[in-house]
Amino acid sequence: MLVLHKPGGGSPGSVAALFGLGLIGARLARRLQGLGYATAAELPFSWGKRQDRGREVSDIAAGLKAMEQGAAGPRRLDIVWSAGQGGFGMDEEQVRRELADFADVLDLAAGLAQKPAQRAVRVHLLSSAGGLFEGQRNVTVSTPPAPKRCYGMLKLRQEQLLSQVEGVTRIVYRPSSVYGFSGPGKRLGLIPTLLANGARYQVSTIYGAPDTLRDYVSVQDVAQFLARQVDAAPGGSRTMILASARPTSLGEVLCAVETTLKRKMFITYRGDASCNTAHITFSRRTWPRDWRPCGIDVGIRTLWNFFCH
Amino acid sequence: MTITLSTVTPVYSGEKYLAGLVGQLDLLRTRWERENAPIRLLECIFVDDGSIDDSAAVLKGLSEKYSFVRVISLSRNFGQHPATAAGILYTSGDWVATLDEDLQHPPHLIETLLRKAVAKQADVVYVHPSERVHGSLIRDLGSRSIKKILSVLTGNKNIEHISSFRLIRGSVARATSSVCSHNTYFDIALTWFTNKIEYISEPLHDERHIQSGKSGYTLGKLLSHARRMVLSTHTKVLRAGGLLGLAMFLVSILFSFYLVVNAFFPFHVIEVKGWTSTMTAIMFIGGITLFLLGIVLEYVSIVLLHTQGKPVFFVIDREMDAPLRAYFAEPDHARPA
Repeated sequence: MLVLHKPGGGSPGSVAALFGLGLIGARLARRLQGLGYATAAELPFSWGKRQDRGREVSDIAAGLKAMEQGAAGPRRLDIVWSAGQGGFGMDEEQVRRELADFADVLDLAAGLAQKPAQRAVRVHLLSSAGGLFEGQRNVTVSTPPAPKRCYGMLKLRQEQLLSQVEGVTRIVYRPSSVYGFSGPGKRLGLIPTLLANGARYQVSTIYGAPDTLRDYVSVQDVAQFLARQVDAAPGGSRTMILASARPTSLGEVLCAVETTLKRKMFITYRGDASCNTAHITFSRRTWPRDWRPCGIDVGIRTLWNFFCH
Repeated sequence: MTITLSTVTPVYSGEKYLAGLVGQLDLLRTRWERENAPIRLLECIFVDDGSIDDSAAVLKGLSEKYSFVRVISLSRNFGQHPATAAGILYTSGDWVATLDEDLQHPPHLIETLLRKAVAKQADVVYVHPSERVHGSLIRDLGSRSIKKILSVLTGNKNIEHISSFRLIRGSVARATSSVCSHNTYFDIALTWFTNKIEYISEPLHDERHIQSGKSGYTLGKLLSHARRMVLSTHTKVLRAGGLLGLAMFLVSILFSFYLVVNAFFPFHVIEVKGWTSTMTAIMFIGGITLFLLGIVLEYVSIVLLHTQGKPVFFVIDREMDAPLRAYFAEPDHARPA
C-alpha cells in the first residue's frame, strides 16, 4: 500500500493511504501527485496472508500517526480501497480472502477514527457497477443491486461491511466497465487487448456476443474524479455510480478499435448462453456532480496514443 | 422474460408537440404495465439537434417529470439522420422505435409495428403512409420518387416504403448506427445488416406542413438527402461506371474493326486521309482507358465498403420474439399485424 501526503501550510494537511495499485489505484496515485500529494511511504500489505496481517496493520497505523505528530489543526486521512485480486470469474475462496483483507483495513480505519477527535477519516471504496447490476438495463441510483456471481457478491458485501463502520465518512464508487492500460506485464482488459492484438495482427478471442451491451469508462476519467474527491473538503457519506450512460455494443468497440488502428481485426467468438453476455447499461441520471466521462471513441484513441508513445 | 423498447426522437423545432408526444408515449407505457405485457417501454430518448425554438427547456421539464425521458444534446444541428443515429447509440432496448417530434407518427402504432415484426420475424418494420403525408402533390411525389430510385439502387423493394417512423431490432439499430458515417444513408445501411424488412400502411399526416406550408426539409436538404442516398449505394453507382467503361471498350473494338474493314473494302467512302487510323487509335485508347477506370472503380468500391464498415456477416438472435408472439396470439390481445 502507498501513503501519500499533501502538506497543509502549518497543519499536517491530508494523508491518503491507497490499498491496491492496480489499474485504478496506480492512476489515482499519479493524479493525487498532480494535486500536490507526495509519496510518504510504501508499506507492505500481504494480500491473503493473515499471519503477517496484525504486524502490518500496526505498522501502517503507526506510520500514519507518526506523520501527524507535532502538528496542530484539523487533520484528514483518506483510506482508498482500490484493490482486487480476482475479476468477474473469481471463486468463493478468493472472495473470502479478499473480504478478510478488506475487513482488516476497515478495522484500521475505525481505530484511526477514534482518536484524536479532530481527525476526519474517510474511507473510499471502489466497488463495481458491473458486478452489482449484471443483467440490468437503464440502471439508476435507486436500482437495487442484484449480483449474479461471486465477484458481485463480494462487492456488495464490502459495501455492507463499510456501512457498518462508525465514525468515518463512507464514500462508495461503483464504476462500470473501466478500461485502460494497467502497466507492462499486468493483466489487460478487453479494449487494451484488442488494441495490442490488432497492432500485432494477432487473433483476439472474445468471450461474449457482438451485440452485448456494456458501459465503458476510461480509467483516466475515473482516477481524475476519485482524485478530486480525495482532495476535496470532507462531505457526507455517499454512493456514486461512475458510468458513461452510453450503452456500447462489443461490435461498436471493435468498429472503434478498427477505425483507430486503420485495419481489420482478427476475431473469434467463444461462449454460450451462460457466458458473459448479459447487457448492463446505465441511465444518465446516475451521473454524480462533476462527473464528465469522455466518449468511447475518444477514450480508445487516447489509449492508443498512450500505447504508441 | 420482459422485452424492452426504446424510442428515439430527433428534436429541431418541436416545442409545441413534445409534451403531447411524451404524454402519448406514457399512455402506451402505462397500458403495457397495466396489462402486464411482456414488453416494457424502457426509455424515450430525445436528441436535441441544435433546436431553434424552446424545445431544450421543454425537454428539460419533461425529463424532470417523467423518469423514462432522457435528453441528449448535440453541439449543433447535424440533421435528422445523424441525430437519429446518435440517439440510437444511447439506447439499450431490445427494440428501437424512431419517430418524429411533431406527432405525425402516433406512438400507439408502435404496438402494431411490434405485432408485424414478431409475426414476420422481421428486423425492421416501417410505417408506410397510406395517404398523402404533406398534403402537397409536388412534395409527396418528390418523396415517393426518391424512394423509388433508392429501391432500384439497393435492389430491395421494401425500401420504397421507408419512412422515419420505423421499428428496428435493437442490435441491428445499434450496429447500423455505429457504422454510419458522414455520407451514409441510415436506411441503406440498415440493408447491410438485414433484408427482413416489412412495412405496415397507415394514414400519416404532417399537420405542421399542412397547416403552415413549411417543412423542415427545404429543396436543398432534400437534394442533399438524395445525394447521400446515392453515395450510400456507392457500389452500384461505381459498378455502373465500370460497366459503362467496359461497354465503351467493346464498342471501340467493334467500331475500330468496322473502320479497318471499311479502309480496305470501302463501302463507305471517307476522303480525309488518316481519319481511319486516328479514329481507331482514339476509340481503342479511350475504350482501354474507360475499361481500366472501371477496374479502378471496382477497387474503390471495395475500399469504400471496407471503410464504411459494411459487415461481412452479422449474427442475430430472433428467439427473444417468442414471448411477445405468444402474448399477441392470446385471444385478449390478438389483433391483425
